Amino acid sequence: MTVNAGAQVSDAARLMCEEHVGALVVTAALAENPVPIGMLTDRDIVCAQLDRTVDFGQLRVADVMTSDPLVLNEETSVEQAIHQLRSRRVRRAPVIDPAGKLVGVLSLDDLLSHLGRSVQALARTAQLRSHPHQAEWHDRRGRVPRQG
Amino acid sequence: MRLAEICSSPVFTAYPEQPLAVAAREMRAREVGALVVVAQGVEPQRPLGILTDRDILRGQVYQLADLHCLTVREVMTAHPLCIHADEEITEAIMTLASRGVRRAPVIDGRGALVGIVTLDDLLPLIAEQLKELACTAAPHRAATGDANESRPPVHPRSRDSQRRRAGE
Repeated sequence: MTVNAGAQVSDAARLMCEEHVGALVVTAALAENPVPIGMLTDRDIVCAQLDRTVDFGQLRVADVMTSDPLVLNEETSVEQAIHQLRSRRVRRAPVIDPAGKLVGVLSLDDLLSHLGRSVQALARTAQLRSHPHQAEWHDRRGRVPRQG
Repeated sequence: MRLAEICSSPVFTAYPEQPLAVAAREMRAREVGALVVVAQGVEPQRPLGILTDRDILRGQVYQLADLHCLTVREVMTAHPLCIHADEEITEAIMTLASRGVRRAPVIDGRGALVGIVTLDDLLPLIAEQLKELACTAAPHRAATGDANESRPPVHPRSRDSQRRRAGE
């Protein structure tokens, strides 16, 4: 999900609520292809209101976004992505293609799901190797067989 | 491992009548993503709600109101999922997953607030268990510097034949 740097914060907030997301990628106002120039989180919006006396309706995305975000390349390995997110102490980062065009967002939750699926596949393989008949039963019934 | 051993305590709290801006400042000062809402001056404290940045924004958007005009009660998520301090961490993960939430207040047998647990607290514990499992399965690969490190690697096929001999 993206938002233009010149958009009103109130519109960005509405978009975040409607789409049930905690962050938006901020893109350059006049770019032909969307290029990430910032990140806007629900926390950024809340904190900006605490610091300013400006009315909520008057705030622009560019006023409250976190500039110079960590940007990952789509060729970046999972290990490198985790390392970079950790070193910048952020939970998510926009992902660009080699031409610099925004292609998505990677979050810690995405990485956790990815690793979780790998562990699950590993466990299923181990189950198949040690108890092939039970594993087959498990697959057919969709339930874990009771041991002993 | 029980939740009581790992949950964050003491918990930062807000009360329902508190101005929302005061609670939001508390969240920023404490660098936390949530406050547990309890009744003011009532002991023991029991969770009435939970307040996150997301709740604040949603409250503002749907009530078309300025942050400084709202109270905690008007935007908090009431009747939050609470997890018992005696629950095992694996149970707690399933409980959080079943409600699709990242965090929950932790309560004792009387329903009193004793802490808060988040997915971020639980992830390192699961990672540690996986690491232990990996070290047990392939001790020669674990760079732990223990005696196992110098043991020559077992060929996968010979390991399988060992298992067959042992009747596994």
